Amino acid sequence: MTTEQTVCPRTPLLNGKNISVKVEQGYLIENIEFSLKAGELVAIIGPNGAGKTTLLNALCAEQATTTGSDIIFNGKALGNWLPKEKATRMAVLSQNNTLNFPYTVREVVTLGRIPHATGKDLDAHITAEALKALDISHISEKIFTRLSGGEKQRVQLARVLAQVWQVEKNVCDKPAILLLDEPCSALDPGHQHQLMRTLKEFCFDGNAVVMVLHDINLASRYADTLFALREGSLIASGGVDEVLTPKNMHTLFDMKFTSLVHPKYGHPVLL
Amino acid sequence: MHAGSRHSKTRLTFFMLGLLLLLGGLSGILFGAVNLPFSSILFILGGGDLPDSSAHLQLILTELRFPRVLLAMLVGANLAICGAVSQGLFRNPLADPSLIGVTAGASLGASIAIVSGVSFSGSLLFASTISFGAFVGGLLTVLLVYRISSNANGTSVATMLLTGIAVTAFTAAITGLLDFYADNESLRRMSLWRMGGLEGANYSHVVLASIVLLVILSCFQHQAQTLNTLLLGESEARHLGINVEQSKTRLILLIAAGTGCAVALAGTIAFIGLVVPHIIRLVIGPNHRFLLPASAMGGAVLLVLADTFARTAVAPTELPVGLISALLGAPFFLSLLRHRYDY
Repeated sequence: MTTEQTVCPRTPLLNGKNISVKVEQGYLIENIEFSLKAGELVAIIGPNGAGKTTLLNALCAEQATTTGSDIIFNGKALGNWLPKEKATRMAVLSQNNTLNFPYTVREVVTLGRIPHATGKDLDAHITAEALKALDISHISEKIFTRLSGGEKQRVQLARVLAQVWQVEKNVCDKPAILLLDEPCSALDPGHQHQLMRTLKEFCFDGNAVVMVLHDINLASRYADTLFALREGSLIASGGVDEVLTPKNMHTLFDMKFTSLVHPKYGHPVLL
Repeated sequence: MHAGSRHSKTRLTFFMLGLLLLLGGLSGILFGAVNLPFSSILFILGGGDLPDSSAHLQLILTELRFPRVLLAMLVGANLAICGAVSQGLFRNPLADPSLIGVTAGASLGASIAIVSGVSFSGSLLFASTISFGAFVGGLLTVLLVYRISSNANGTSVATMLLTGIAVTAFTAAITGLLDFYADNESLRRMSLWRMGGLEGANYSHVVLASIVLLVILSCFQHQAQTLNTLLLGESEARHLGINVEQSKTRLILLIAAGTGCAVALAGTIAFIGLVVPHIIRLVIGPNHRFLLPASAMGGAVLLVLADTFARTAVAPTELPVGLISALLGAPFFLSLLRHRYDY
């Protein structure tokens, strides 16, 4: 985005201790330790039903946690944030989008600016930037309900990106975070990588991203930190090399992986 | 279809609706069992009195036509705006205030008032007893539906729709029982009331309806952005900083009050709440900032035209306006659907 970068101190943005979510049938996730620092891109991986979405929902207060769970966002308990105030610093994209009213793409993305009182002109500018970042400027006047699944997903991504768009690039004093639930699921490989690069730039400015990812190799290439869940418990967490070991992968997915080193970027590639 | 011109389309729509409202209002005043000359209207609006020979025309104009046309506009606007908000709140383009029990409850309230009121027939309060019964019935039913569908986690919109259907069936059954045991006169009154009508219009009704319309229109307009975000989904709205539970409660109470008032003053008038917002959305899109006022204008136009038609079609007899609004609205809506169903 800009050539001159200011490296923000790696202050903790979102910290969770003993995060547990319980329903009648038992625990969905139990005693998860989580941390997210400024500038960090975190991926949550694991098999279906491991509790990835539950963890993400707990981290944005959409899902109630059991007493004893302790989540701190930007130095303040998550539950103590006023909804309006929190919305300017945290945007969330969930997995199921149910919009079935004929908004145009631009109108949907502009909805992301609602928490901010930055004026019409700036909102229009940020909307245009977000449209460009997700490569949907050319369909900005199309009707949302008539788009393909992948296009819809990019529009929703542009909306949450517009919600936490930072006007100035030096954001160390007011970093924002994005929580994304499987943002790549409907995207073609080209747009997957474009999205990941956009998110990396967003983090590079001092913000942070937490995302549920199914594609281990995307996580391997772009994530700074991984959290691996299985049956509601944390199996492993840490850097790519620590987490993406053949042993961990076997525990997570019950299948044998062959690990190679990417010839160009050097990250592990699992086949 | 490309919506590149949505902005200019919105402006054109408001202009056309304004024009239609003016023409509709004018035709509502001019036509009826007695057709009035255009010049006499200008004369009276100018503050003059007609000569004694046409004093009856002046009476028709000021005591019958003016309040009736105004009430038709206000009730139509009220119904359409409540319909628009219901569709946004329930994220369902087919939703209608009657789905959450307002209409059925109002019918029951009115029937109870009619059945118990027959014994005091002749009382001056009679007409307003029915209105009062309808308003209270509608409001109580919505509150009941709302209470049943709410728990500690908030109100589930899907549960509310299902509860609304069940409660509607229940109140309709009680209304049916009242019909069954009512004498002939009450029975006819009840079924006529249910078909809707504006023949009781007077200036106090107009004042009441305008106050209610002003209040709900300004409250809803204040919630326009909230409704816009609710279309994305409730959790999406929450993530955009909206206090969803509080907004839902407010919106439901306002819908109940608005529809309850409309039904109390004009009986059940079908279709306007469902079809008008839908037509407007097809043209200008779902942004509630424009959708709500445009729906209000559209509802006013449709009901004033329907009422004029109801008064003139088989004059001097009047048809129930609720039948006409559906007869006029449904084919128009169907033709829109056929031509641009891919919108």
